[in-house]
Amino acid sequence: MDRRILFTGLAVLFLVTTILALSINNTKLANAAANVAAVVSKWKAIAISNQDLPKTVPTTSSVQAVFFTGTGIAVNPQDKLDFKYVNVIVGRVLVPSSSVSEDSSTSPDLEVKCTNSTGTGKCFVFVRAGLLYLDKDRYTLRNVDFDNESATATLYSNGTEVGSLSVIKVDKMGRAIWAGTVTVRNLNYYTYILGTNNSLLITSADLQDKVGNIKACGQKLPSVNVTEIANCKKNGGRIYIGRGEDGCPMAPTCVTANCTKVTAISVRERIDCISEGGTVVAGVDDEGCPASPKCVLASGETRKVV
Amino acid sequence: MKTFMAIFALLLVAAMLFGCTQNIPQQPPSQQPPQGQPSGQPRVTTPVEDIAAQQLESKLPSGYENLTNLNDMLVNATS
Repeated sequence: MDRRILFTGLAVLFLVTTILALSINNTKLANAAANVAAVVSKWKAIAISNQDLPKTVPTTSSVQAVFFTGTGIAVNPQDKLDFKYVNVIVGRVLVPSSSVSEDSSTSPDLEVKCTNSTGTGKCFVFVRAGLLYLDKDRYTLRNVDFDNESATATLYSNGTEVGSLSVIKVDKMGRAIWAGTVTVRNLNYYTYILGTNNSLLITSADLQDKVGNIKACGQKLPSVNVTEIANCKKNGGRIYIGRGEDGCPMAPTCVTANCTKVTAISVRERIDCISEGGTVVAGVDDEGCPASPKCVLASGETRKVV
Repeated sequence: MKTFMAIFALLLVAAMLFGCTQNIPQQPPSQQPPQGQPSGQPRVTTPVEDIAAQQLESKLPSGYENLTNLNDMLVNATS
């Protein structure tokens, strides 16, 4: 009799735990869905529109848009005399498909935009990229995420990951200031970059004083590490820095859109593509989801899979 | 009693099996370089992000923009 009671108790406990786990997951899913909706709508604001596409497929690379650029200072919070001069630019570059190496063809920074929605028309290859100078040290930026209000990226030096950048835009005195953190070789710096104008700069229509005083946000300046960015990108996600009700940046989170499964391209198709002078290009689509690889020919046309 | 224990054991096994299926790593897409690449086509090895960064370098601010802005503001204020 006692054993029966014990087992019945265990069964009830099991049932309650399962119900609780399911309800927690549902809440998390609901929050994630809300985040994704917010991010996707922001992302679409800087998606490549058909008007941005040139008439002919380029044979040389050219800067299509500048997300943000400026100069400033990066300060080590542990040592006020350890500071660096910062010069940065982040944007989108239109490249000929022949510039995409085999190793780069699946880069999450690639964006392929075709003239028609079926993807069979003329296709253009864009790369989100950036450059950061800390004093005279030059770093290229990869895994670039930008949503008009915040930007995150991984720092590379000579092809090796060495750190990360995460900044948010703060409007002060009518100027855009990008504040956040730079991590280089395990050293953290607070950075303040005064945005400068550029003819290709993507302007935000809703530039408002959302953070009146960044000091009020205290230590909440967002930081993300390289592993976090890399893992997020690997799963087709995006690092997103939201804002709280007080306007202060919240901790960066990785959000993933409801991406459909990517159709792989066979080795045979890759060989055929390359032998016809084309390049297999993947990257991400407008929603930030990993895109199915396409064979873009030198003429810019997409090669149809036979 | 025995039936109850058997159901409980079955549930445990099912949960374990479910856990195992969730931990199976995804098969990575084929990374094999294409064989029989035509020799006439130069092989690009520079990461496309670096090519793009090089393009952006020409648009880097010189650092004097802030002074120019200040100058403009002063000129506007005095004229």
